Amino acid sequence: MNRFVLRLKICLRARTAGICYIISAIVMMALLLSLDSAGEERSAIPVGLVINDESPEAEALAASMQDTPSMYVSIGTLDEMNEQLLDGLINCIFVIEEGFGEKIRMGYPDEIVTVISGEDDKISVILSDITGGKMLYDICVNKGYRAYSSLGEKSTMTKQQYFDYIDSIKDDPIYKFSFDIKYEDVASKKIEEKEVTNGMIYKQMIAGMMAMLLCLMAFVSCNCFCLEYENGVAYRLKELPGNKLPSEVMDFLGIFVYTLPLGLVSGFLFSDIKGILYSLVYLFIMCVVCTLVSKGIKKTESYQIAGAVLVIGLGVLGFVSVFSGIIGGPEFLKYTPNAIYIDLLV
Amino acid sequence: MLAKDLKLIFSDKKMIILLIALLGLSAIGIIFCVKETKGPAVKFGIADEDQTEYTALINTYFDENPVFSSYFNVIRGTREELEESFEKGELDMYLVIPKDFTENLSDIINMPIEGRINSTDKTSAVLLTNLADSYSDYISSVEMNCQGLADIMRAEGYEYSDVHDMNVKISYELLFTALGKDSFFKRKTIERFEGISLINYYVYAGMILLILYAGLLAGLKTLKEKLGKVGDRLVSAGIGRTRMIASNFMAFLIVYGFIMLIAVGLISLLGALNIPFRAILFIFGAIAVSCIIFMLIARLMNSVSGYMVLGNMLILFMTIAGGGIIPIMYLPEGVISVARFTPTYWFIKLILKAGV
Repeated sequence: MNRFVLRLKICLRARTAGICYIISAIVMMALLLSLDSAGEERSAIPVGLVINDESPEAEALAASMQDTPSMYVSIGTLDEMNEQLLDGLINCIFVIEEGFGEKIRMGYPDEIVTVISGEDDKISVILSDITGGKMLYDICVNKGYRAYSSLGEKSTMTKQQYFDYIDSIKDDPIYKFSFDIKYEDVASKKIEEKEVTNGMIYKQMIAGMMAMLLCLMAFVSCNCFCLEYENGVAYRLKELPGNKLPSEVMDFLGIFVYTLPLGLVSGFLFSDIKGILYSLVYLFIMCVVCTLVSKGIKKTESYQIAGAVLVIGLGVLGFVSVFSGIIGGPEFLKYTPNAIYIDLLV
Repeated sequence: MLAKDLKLIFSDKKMIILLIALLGLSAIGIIFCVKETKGPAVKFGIADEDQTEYTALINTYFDENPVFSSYFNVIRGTREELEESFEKGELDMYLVIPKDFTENLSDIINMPIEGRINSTDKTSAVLLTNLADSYSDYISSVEMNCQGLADIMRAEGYEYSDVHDMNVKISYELLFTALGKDSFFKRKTIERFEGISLINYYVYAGMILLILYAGLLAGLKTLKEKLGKVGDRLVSAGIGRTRMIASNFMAFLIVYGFIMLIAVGLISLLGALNIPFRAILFIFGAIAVSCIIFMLIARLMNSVSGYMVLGNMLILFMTIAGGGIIPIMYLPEGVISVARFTPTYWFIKLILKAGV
């Protein structure tokens, strides 16, 4: 027990480290909270929109693109959007070409929108599919009217009356098709009650960052073991008589308790009581790993490199696991510690 | 002095081995990930219980659309077969087009297409949900316009057969328009700009992370020298502090630059990624900036533990705020303003533009 108290005292007496710990933790938490609060809005894919046509159809398309939850639309000139694309601020540019409205009215909607993207980009094609869905209503209503007006004398409605009628049924649920989708977590055989939203991707990323933060905290806290090897204290302690294991365990617990506040706060801010528990378990495992690594390496510089490998490696594997379902990443990714933590937390 | 500093760095064999192992592992990891992540990954099942011309058209679309097939591996089967595969986790989603679906659609009886999405992988589930939403827009547009025209014709007293004939004609026309939606778009790509594919983005983010850690190590050595009063001893031996710092800085730049070059060369040679030549300059520039930042921080600190906490947290902060984890385009406006002060943001921005 003495060793536990002693280790905790040593950690708390390191003022510079303590102050850095508190300031860094506050800044990181503020950053993660700011990301968390913007999660739903910013999960949409950012695209640029250039409107080169002044028709009501072009305006309607711009408005419905802005209302699409999966897109975050910035409107501007082609030069501005090009600059944003090259800066990595948007994924692609949609240019509503001059004559857009006219071509829709004529029923020949070929190449009425130009999509500009990078060479390897695939997302823009999915976004085009979504945008196409928004354009299709106007295209169909114009084609429908052309068919109607071809009927001859019996057709008495003016174009405006025809459009108004179709508009009047637009929001009628009888005419609205939707899929009857059920979500099931096949791994746990549970039918999901929560709706799947874009924000879930963001939440997974934030959980991944929290895992990295906890791993980093465990790693920097265990550095004291290396310093003790470097100044010879650790070797002297080994000379003391008695069973070493209990005192080593107490030593480790001292470090774990020192890092505990960050685990508690991060779990509390971003999740519920279960989240706190997952964070503490993850933190405990990382403290064990870092203690073993630091005692094995014994040198600060080398320990820093090993720690970087651990934090970056586990972090990257965790983040890649978030997208492995789409990009076809290797199966083992979902069994890495950060991937398990992300999955449990989200 | 520089030669001696280089010798000193290389004398720490354990550290050099660890550094090379780290870069080697990173390079292998990148190559492995890039090679392993090709081909459609999302498994999508369709059971067509209706078996009409219309549903055949939709099925053909799933087969022939290059975009769809680049993301989705389409598997056909009966409802029972797909259900079984889904329960085994072999499918990410399946749809069942029910019997009489087309007939009911033209009689405005909404018979939904049933679907099940495996939500174990949240990211795939989000993509599939968005896709299902966009396809319901397509079906709704076709359906309401066919039915709207039929309603108007009935109200105007057209014969049943005329309404039916027109309904068949317009349904085909609108369905073909919907399926040919790719022709609405003209595609242009910016030459030599590879865009923001996730893998490339994270490789660059990983590179700057390694560079920042390299700077942290340079700072750690500087701090240890400072605490060991190495500078005072060298001054008494006639070597100025500026010269000592400059030599230290150059030694780290050469060592880290050389190691990064090997890793980048390995990745390029094995064809995992095409890294433009101009990017090499940015890598050296980033190493220089990183070393300067951390060597300066080290000069201001008096404790190794404090430096370790501050340095590591600073790296994590710069990585998150600079778009190293959530790509810059998805960050909130406030965080993007902060990102502009981080090396991560500038490195990724410059390297993405390097080929243009």
